[in-house]
Amino acid sequence: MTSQTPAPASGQATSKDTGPAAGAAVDTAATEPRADGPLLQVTDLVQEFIVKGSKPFQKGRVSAVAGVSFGIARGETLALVGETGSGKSTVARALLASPPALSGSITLNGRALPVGKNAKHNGTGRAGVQMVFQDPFGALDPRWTVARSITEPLVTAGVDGREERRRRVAEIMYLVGLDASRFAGRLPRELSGGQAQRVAIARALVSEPDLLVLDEPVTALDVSVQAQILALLFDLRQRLSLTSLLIAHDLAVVRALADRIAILYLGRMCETAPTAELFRSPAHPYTAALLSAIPPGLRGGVQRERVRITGRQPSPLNPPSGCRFRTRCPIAQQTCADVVPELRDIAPGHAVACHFPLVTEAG
Amino acid sequence: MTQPTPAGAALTANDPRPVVRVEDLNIKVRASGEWTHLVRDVSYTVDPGDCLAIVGESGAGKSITIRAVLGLLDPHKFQVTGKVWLGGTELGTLRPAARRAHVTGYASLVFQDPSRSLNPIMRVGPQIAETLLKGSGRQEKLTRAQARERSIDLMRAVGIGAPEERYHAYPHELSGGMKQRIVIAIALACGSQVMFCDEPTSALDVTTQAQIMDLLDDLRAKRGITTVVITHDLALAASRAEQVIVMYAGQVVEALPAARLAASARMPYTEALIYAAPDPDADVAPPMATATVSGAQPLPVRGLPRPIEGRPPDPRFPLPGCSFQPRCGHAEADCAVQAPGLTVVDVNHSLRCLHPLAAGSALEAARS
Repeated sequence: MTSQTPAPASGQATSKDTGPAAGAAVDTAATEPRADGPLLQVTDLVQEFIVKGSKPFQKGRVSAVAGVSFGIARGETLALVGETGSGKSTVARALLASPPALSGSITLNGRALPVGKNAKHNGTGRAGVQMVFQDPFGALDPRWTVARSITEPLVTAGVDGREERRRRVAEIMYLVGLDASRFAGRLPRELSGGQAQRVAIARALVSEPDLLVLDEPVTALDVSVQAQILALLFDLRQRLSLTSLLIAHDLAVVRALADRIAILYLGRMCETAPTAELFRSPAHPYTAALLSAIPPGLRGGVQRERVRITGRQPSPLNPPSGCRFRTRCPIAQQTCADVVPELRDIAPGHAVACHFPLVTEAG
Repeated sequence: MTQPTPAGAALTANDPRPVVRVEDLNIKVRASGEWTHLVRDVSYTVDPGDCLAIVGESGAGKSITIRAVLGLLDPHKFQVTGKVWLGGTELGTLRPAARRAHVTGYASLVFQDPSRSLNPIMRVGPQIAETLLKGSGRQEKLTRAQARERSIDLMRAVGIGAPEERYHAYPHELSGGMKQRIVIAIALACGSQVMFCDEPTSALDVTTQAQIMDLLDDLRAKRGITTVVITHDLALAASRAEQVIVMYAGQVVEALPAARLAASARMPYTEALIYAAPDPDADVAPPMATATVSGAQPLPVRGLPRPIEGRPPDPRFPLPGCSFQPRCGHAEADCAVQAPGLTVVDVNHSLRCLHPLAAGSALEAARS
């Protein structure tokens, strides 16, 4: 089951254009000296879940993530894109060790995060990762004031001194565009959707995590509010040189925020490339199908030729042999059923796992 | 239910009468003894086999408008005035029971979240068959076996593979897109000529969204079904509909043909909506140190959405002038005092603005 995926050299590929610029402007973050390697390195991550089978007393095994490897450089935003069931949220949850991955390795800032069935949920490994969820109202305790919600990570991180904590809460609230004097005492029900998401972002950032995981941060929000949160995230990324993992299915959102995109399908990585290149020359048929499903933009956009994929995603209980996308792929051949395609570079930072990529040398 | 044949579809398509016609729809709600005006003077028509998209932010009155059209609002709480024609019959002329029978036999409503529209403890096939067996209106009497057969046909028509097996599936065993297809099959089982869809794809993935929209297009082409789609996604509306209505604070602020929407939009709110969505076709420049150091006001970046600041007005305290004026970047002095009326500027194009933009200016702003 675990295919050998080549070690991702693509992690550092885009750090060149964001790196030097991002480092200059930081006032709050970057407590540790910059290392050369990627901040986060995930290698051969495997996650499986045992579920009830179709027959009584039978157990089924869902292969949620099957050997995914990627790296995120400091200051970089990587987007994991895929349909429901592609394993993108499972990867994110493995980073938070809830639940920890079955096998593979996760290294954050040189420290190994817990992996394996009996890994302990010790706070030390997770402290460097914070998460923002899709539904802010579900993520915030309805009976806690905004100030209390934002302060809690500081208490957990062991920041002593009421004054110090209050100062940092006020600072982060200012950064996310909330007036502390007006909002600190409010309860979640007294907030609009956009304000609640700002609180959730503030709570995630207040303990200065190494890595921010954004799980569909704008999907549940209204159009105009969505734009406000996207602009905020874009702005925060510049100010704090955030390193983040963005999980989204809306490619327009991804294009606005991510430096690099990794496309997942049924627990395997199909393609990874810098954002602009992925949009310009998708190499995997699934990527092309995803791109062509976006309604053409209204600001003089391009009309992409529609690549239709038919049928439905196969059950992860019984994933197809070889390439997992082959059952819906318009150009699948016999090789695709026999051999698992390996992720291989076709251009610097652009890797694809396909026997018959649409472009062989991306330009 | 009469099985819609291609000939039947053609017959509806040649019918010159609009399938849906709404005139001066006003909705008021009573809350703590006071009447609040939620929707003002909404009028539109939809021709047979066409798709109308209603676009706007939450609270703009999109959903409540179609609920009023279908007579789903509680008469003790809501006061609905105005005229509604469904298939050439004015609903106001019918007695309540006859009206209900006419509406259920003619139109149906597809909701955003399919898992909440389906009965979780009933297999999906029988849910379609139930509609065929118990549905009121112009339907013929069916035996159970016939209903089952027809349900399977309908499941096939909405693109469900292996319908004989899926007939016995529970809703939780199906994916979101599949469930939405079942809901659409139930709507077809009612014999609906018009399908009102309230955010039909917002809860779904991009590829599934495209597939469901393809299905609706397909039903329009093959069965002559007319659709009214509510969405907050202007790009989706422009790519799938014939006519687009933009609603804001309970009013229609612009109604325009979907083709070349960005080029012809002239109401500032429509322009703002175009820019509020992230542009899927433009790269965003990587963050630059200069933009950060200079402080609060980041430079506008192409592709990055431009938020609409502020919030829509509270319907309890309507503004004297244009309802979009406080958030409008092009507002002038008289916008705050004088309420604009709906003016016709072109074929199928009307707008509610005292100082409309020049045609095409929305796109020019994108290029600069």
